[in-house]
Amino acid sequence: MSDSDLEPDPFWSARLTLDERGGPALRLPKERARWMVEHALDEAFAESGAAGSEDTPDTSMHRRVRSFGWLACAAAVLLALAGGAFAALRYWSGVARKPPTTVSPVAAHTPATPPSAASTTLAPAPLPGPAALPQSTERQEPRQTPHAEATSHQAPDDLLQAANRLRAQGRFAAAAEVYALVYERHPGSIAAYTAEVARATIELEHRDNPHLARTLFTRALRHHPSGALDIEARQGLALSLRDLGDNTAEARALRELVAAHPGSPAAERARAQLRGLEGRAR
Amino acid sequence: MHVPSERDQLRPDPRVALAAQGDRAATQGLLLELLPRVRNLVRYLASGDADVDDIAQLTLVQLVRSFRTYRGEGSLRAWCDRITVRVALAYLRRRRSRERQTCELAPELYAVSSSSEQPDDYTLRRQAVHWLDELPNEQREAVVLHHIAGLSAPELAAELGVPFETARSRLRLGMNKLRERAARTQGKP
Repeated sequence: MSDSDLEPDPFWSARLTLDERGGPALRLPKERARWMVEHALDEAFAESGAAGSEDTPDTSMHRRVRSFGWLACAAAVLLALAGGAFAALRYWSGVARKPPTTVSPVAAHTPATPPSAASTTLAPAPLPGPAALPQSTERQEPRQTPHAEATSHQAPDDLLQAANRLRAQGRFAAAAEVYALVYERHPGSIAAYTAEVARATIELEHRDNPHLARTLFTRALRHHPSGALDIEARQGLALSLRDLGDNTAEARALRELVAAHPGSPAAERARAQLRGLEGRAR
Repeated sequence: MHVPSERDQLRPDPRVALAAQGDRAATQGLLLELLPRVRNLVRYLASGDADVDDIAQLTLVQLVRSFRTYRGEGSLRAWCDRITVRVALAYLRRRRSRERQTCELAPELYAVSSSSEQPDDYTLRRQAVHWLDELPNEQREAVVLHHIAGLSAPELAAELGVPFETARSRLRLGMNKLRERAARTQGKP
């Protein structure tokens, strides 16, 4: 690049500079930086300690937050089945789609969310607030293996909670393993259905495994075509197929989503995606 | 405009060897030090602020995984930048393929500086990334990788997976558009 036209002048030198201090990223409060580092360490070290773990580095916190909405739905379903009428009422009135601390007693106790930047910086705070920050005492506890957690809690909803905790820690391979245990030990139960959808989401969003995600979403839909999580399962199936590059099957999944829930926001997004697919096909 | 620190140039950081052996405290210290740089580079590459922390988080995980392969050849920060670029570009391309919308920044934000940073630098860089946000992705990547991450021309072409002349053309077009944009805003040629 010896062409001088390509070399920036001092005007640009002041603006296109990389260092640790002056932006352009919005400022990060120290507590939030520590949270990010801790979770990165947890995830990387958990993987290195878990034989055969093959998580891909996708810990998108937006996705994570969105996925906790799914788990909130799942927890609400379990609560409803257990007679938790209040939680069920909130779920069906749509509150369950808010961050899990508003609905799910499971997620509310997990260190899932980083400290918010909103109160101290200009950041538009895409992440939930500091209420769910991991407590220092939790950090000092020795880590359990997924199987240790699983064997100490045999009931399906306890297993789900264990999986949710692992997921909240960013230990996605371990969480997927425990979700799979729920399915194996309690096949046909609503807990197995919930675990199946949650595991599929992990495979899609955090382990870069759309093949397995497609299989799991498909199985969940086959067993519970009108289940409480069928919108999420249909969306997940469509996304899996998109990642696999199967436009025809993706379009079919999107049409089925629209047909099953024509008035939902998910259907609106599905229609938009369908238009895009059809436009590219022409 | 790649700015290595003096210490980085002088001697290898002993914490890197510890991090390669899985020492959590050493790794933590390095990550906390590198995180602001990672986030700044990510913001140069990503349109809008919404994805910055997601990508930074992925990069941190990748850095932890990669410490064991770092041989101490060259600057730690340059090594960190290369990993950041790869993680960010992979993320952004996957995201674009899903055609997800980016979150727009409220216009008043970039005029506000934080308490602990140089207000002038911060404001200028925020202004620059808003201009970068208006570039096509290909041109933006070329400008950022060359002028900010310090990649040479062959490295740039290799990183983007395009012929040398294509990379050069993207870079030229991108800088021309930035200059035009700056001129419209500030009367600067």
